Amino acid sequence: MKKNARKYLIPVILACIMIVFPQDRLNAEEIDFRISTSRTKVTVGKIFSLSLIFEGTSNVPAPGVSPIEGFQVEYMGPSTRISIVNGRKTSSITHMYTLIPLRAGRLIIGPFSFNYGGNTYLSNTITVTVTGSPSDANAAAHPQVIYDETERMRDRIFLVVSPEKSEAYVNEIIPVYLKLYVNRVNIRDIQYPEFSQKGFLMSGFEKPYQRREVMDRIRYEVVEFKTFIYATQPGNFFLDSATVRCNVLVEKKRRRLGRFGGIFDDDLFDDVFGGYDILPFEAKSKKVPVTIMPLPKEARPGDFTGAVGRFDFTLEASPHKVKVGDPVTLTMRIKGDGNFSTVMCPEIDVGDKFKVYQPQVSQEPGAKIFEQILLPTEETVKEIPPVSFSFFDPKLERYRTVTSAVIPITVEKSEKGKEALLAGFQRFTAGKASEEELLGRDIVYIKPSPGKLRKRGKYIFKSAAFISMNTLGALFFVTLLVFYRRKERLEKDVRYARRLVAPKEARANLKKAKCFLEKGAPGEFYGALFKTLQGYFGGKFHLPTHGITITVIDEVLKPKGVKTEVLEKLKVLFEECDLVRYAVSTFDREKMEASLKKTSEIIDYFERTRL
Amino acid sequence: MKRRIFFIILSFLIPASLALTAPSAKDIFSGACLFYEKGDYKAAIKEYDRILDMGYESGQLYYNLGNSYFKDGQLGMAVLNYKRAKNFMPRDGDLESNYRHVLFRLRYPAAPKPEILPLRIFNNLALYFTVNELAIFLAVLFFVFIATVLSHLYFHRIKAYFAVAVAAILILFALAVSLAVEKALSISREAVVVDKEADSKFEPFERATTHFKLYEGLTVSILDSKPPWYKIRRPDGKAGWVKKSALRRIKPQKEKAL
Repeated sequence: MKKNARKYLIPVILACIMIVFPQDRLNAEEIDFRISTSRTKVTVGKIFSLSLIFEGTSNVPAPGVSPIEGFQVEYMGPSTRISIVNGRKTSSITHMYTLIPLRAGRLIIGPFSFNYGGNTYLSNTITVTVTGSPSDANAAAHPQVIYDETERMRDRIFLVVSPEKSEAYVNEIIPVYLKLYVNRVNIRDIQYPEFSQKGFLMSGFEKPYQRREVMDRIRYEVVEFKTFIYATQPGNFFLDSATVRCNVLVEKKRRRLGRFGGIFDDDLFDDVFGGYDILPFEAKSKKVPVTIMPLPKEARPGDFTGAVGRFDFTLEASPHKVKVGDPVTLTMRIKGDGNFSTVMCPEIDVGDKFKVYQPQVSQEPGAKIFEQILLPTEETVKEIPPVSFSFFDPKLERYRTVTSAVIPITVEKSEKGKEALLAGFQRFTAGKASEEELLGRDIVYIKPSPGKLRKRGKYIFKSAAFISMNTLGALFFVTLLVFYRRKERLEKDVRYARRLVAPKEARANLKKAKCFLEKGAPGEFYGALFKTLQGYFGGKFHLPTHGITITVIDEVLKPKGVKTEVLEKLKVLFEECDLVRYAVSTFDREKMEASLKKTSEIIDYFERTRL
Repeated sequence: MKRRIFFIILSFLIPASLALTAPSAKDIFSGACLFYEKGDYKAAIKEYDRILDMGYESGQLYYNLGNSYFKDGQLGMAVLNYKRAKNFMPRDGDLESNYRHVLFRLRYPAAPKPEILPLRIFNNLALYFTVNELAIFLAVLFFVFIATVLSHLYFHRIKAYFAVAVAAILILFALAVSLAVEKALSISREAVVVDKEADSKFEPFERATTHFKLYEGLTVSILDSKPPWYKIRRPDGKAGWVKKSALRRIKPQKEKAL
């Protein structure tokens, strides 16, 4: 069983190492960097591809190769490959570029150098022969041709910016849709629009979504980006043109095969993009006029702070029963549809009966929440007065004010004494502090003491004391666990217990025998030796102690492979123990010492040898 | 020989006298507070930074540094230092109030809370404790576990509650470990935008197309690094490459070479 476990353990550990340390990290230095082109003979303006291949890794970022003398370069994107063959992982990444030759001649591409992981890698070079006169006009993709081609597509790919409304109020949110219309053209690598507007604040673009739309009886694929803008100043504005960049796949115009025109001259076999050229395309929208109207001055509520939209306002207080000086939390929730950036905390007019703290602001989708702490200063307070919130509703084109209901609360006298609490409040309401409070919002003052300064980056779990304490705890636990297991085994496993005790008892009995030797009493001496042997072998092999005689040698010890020499010694010892009963006088001190030594050696042998 | 002894004694005395005359971190802190009170916030920042340069840090130090930056108009640096202070005193009311105030000034909404209740509780717990508190809690749990197992072995009376106790300890242990890991990861990967405005690009090149803009004080997660660029993720999930100089990490660390 154990052998089997060992057999599987090593592959498992190796597999874990391979997972934790991927091959490309282990062999980080074994990166092979080379370049290749889809062709080495081209005509001016003919697009072909350049590949930068990194073998041995899959996470090298795109190196900057531009400018390359005589070429226009455009990055296309990466392509990664990971394969595992016979447990060996290989990976590579290829960064692809399109090149357009700008002049004729023998142009050299490379070598490119690239730094990665502190090492510099140098690529090979490739010589491309560019011929000046394109043999086939149809196949040419000269910059002028590209320009013509992209201009030709402008009616098939175009960008339209359409704000949801052309007239809006200051601070009013205007949803703006940027629609990229595409008709029967393959496009890819669409980038997020560039759309920055002076005089407007703008949110980020949401995830675009794709749909179909028919315009002037033509069906278009539409990629729609949505954003929100609002103006902070009135006036007549133009939304500047937005730009969306993408790549367009243009079908190559095939060469006309002459009578002997070889099929192998065609691009079909040597171009990585099959039958397509990839052209960069930039779609620009037209400017769109937007009129921003000022908010009306007539009937503007006194507490209006600039909020524009359609909102609902609710006020909650908790708890409703407090003691003087205990906090009551007012939760003001403004929900709805509009510009939450302009929504400020409504003012609460509670006079001197409350101390008011700064509100805490949080925002959720479609709601802004203000939490304000009030401390009642006297027990005569019976209610929280109504709070109103004013905003401009652009749909109704008028201001609206939502006022909350009065919230009844019960304030009890504080056990600590009103005077002490008021003294505390006066600290906040007197002098300059009260001005700050009226201003309402600022940071809390600095701390007077540096607290417990500690070494930078020093954490408890890194300290030697913490590690030692836990290690000692673990050692203590393991020790007690081992002790418990041993104790339990001693109690339950008699064979184990007897085997464990046998050598100790044998040593004790040998001491007794030595005493008899000193006294010169051979009878008692051999009696003690016999008892030692009986006790030891009985315990060691879990046999009845009184049944251990000379026969044990042949019945038990011989089958276990005990050395013949040891068995002989043991046999002699047993015989001596028997003989002493009949001829005591024949056993002198020397013989007894020899017997004692032999017994010790035999016990040592059995203790050392694994049977 | 006498001359040698004189130099040996001198070599001990000079550092000792320097140590006696050099101001301690607490003295510098008090001096910085005085600058703050006088309204000389730049001098206060310089003094607080001196303590950091000496290799010391504390929640109060970062808090005061955050206040000084706020008063000096450097709101991004204020956010950064409040965030650092939160790692030391996450339950400090003044700190929370100032942090929210600076976000309010920057017009950033409070961080969105997860909609799922267990995740919300987990996030709140991770924000509530410091790394040290979690380490101590884990050590205590470890010793409680040892005591429980040994009591079960040696005192058979508590046998009935053993399984429940061990299960509870292991659940708490797993929770504390995940909180500690989450806390450590968020500290090490978060950074704050300290420039007024920074371009986030599609690729780590100067000429690459700008994907979106980042504004001062925004907290972002660092995903990758390619000197001198960081790949970051904005709280709304958008990712891009930003110049390192525009950001400061919550946990300053040595840059790893790719």
